[in-house]
Amino acid sequence: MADPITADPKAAGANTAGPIAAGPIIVGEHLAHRYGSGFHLHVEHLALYAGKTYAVYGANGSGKTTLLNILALLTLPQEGRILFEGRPVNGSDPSRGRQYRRRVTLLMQHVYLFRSTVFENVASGLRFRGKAKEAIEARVNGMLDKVGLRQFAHRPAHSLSGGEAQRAGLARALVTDPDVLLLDEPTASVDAAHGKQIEAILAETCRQRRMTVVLSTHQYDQAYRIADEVLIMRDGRMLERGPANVFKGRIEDTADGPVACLDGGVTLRSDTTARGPAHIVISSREIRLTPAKPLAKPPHTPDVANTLTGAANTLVGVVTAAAVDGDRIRLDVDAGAPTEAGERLEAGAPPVTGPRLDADSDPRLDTGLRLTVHVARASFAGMGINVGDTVHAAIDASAVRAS
Amino acid sequence: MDYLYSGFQEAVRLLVTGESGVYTIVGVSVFVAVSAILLASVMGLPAGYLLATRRFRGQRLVTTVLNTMLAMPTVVIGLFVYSLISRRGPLGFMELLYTPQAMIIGETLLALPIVAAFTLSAFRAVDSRITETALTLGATTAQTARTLISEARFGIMAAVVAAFGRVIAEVGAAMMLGGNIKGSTRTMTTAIALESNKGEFGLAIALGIILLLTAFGANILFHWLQGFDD
Repeated sequence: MADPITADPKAAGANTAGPIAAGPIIVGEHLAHRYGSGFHLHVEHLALYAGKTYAVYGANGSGKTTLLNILALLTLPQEGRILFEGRPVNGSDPSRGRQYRRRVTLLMQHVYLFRSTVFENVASGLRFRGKAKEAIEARVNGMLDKVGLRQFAHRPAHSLSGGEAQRAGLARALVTDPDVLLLDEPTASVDAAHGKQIEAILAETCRQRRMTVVLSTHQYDQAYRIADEVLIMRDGRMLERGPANVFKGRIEDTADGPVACLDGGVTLRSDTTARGPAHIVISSREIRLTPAKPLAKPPHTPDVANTLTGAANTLVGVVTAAAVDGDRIRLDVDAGAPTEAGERLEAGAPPVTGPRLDADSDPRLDTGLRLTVHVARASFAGMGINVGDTVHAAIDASAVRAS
Repeated sequence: MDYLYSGFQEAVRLLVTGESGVYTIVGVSVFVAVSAILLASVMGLPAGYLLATRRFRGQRLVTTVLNTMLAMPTVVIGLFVYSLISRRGPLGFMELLYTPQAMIIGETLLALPIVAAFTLSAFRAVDSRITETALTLGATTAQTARTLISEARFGIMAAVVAAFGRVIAEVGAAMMLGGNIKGSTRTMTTAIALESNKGEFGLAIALGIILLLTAFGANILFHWLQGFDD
């Protein structure tokens, strides 16, 4: 790509928790939208920063698409306003909305390709902007190379398979070099292989340019795999947001008894007939312990927690005890204590008194964020973990289920 | 049955030699039909687009009237235009009756609802995501409209072809408004009616063959174009 931006803003630290000097690129204030069906979106405040990747996570019908359509100004919110670089864009001046849409683009879940060739589809955004023919050709071909569709350039777009069409749609959005890319469930309607490809293209593009990405997903692992920050939606509201690598759990007392919420999105109810504590079962295989002090860490790499790719629900904790238990080693990990890095994990829950989060009789989690992890002796020897060490415990959320 | 057989022989001869002004008649037919279709398209295509994309009061009524006019008998259109342009009519001073222009007016009125109604359904049939997609790619209002038209192009062409097929094969209004004047307003349909009455089956059959092929061609084209929308 003939892209003047060669610096890598994320490598320079934009990806870490450090403060970003500039203000947010997009701010949503008091956004509200109501549909005849009774659905009501209400987002009090939303700030999106340049160069960051956000995942909007929630079940079907939680308002993800509505929120993205509002951010793309395809749906004008009935209340509230959207500010782009500090200036409102959904006001009475339609030209401002158009200028906004030239910098903020949306890839719909079911991408629509125009009745023309793949090349013409990808070129359409540049044509709308009145770019010169040669420039269009160069940029479109470059982008088609990037998404692996160059050989299909002159085929009718409607001959593409679902996954190829999704990539063509992504190319069409990316080739305009937007400041903000909104993606509605970009991988929901494609197979796993295409999904991986799309994630890889996204990751690479976002690294190369300082592009803000907001993608909606109902796949919990995807949200945590891709995003710097996860925005959790339910029933049209934004429940909470936080860095993708911070575990949050809390217990809510409801009429049905206590409900354990992991990351707001996974909700588990206790068996109401049994009353008593809510149990969350996590297969022991799904907890990964990693020593957090591989001091081979070069001084300028992001925090270790960020390097744990693929880790949903990573807890940072300190090993408080280790004991031999048969052919295994039992480790007590206090994930609620301040760690070496000085970060304290938030467990916005009433401690200890809340129901226990139980883990398949092996690892045990409770709201005080103490983990008991059983590790095979052989593995333990290889890990080199000692009492007092800081460790990362990664729990695959897909393994979480109610008992 | 002998007269039919000799009629066919005569028809083939006329088609080959072009005698009896057979191609003049075809020319008048095509000229009138094409002119009417052009006029009807200039009015009907934008009308169909606006009906499909805008919301206004009375929209349902307009759509209903349009669809009803699809079934308008051509002799009624002939009667209507006749009453306007005949010597005693409000436009009588223009002396349009029994001219190709009069036929074009009538055929335009016949084609207009077809073009508009089919265009309307062509725009309704296209994917609702087109406008949104164009907007997300930064299109202006005009560019969005152009994209929508481009996406509906096969349906729009089908509308024009359907109207052409109807107009070229129509006899009532052509007869009433054109008067079947040889070399001026005699079209294929009016000529066939006249020649059959006279028992001159050769010319009638020759013109019938051309008309049939034209109508078939238009119909095949129409269905081929509609096939793109599936």
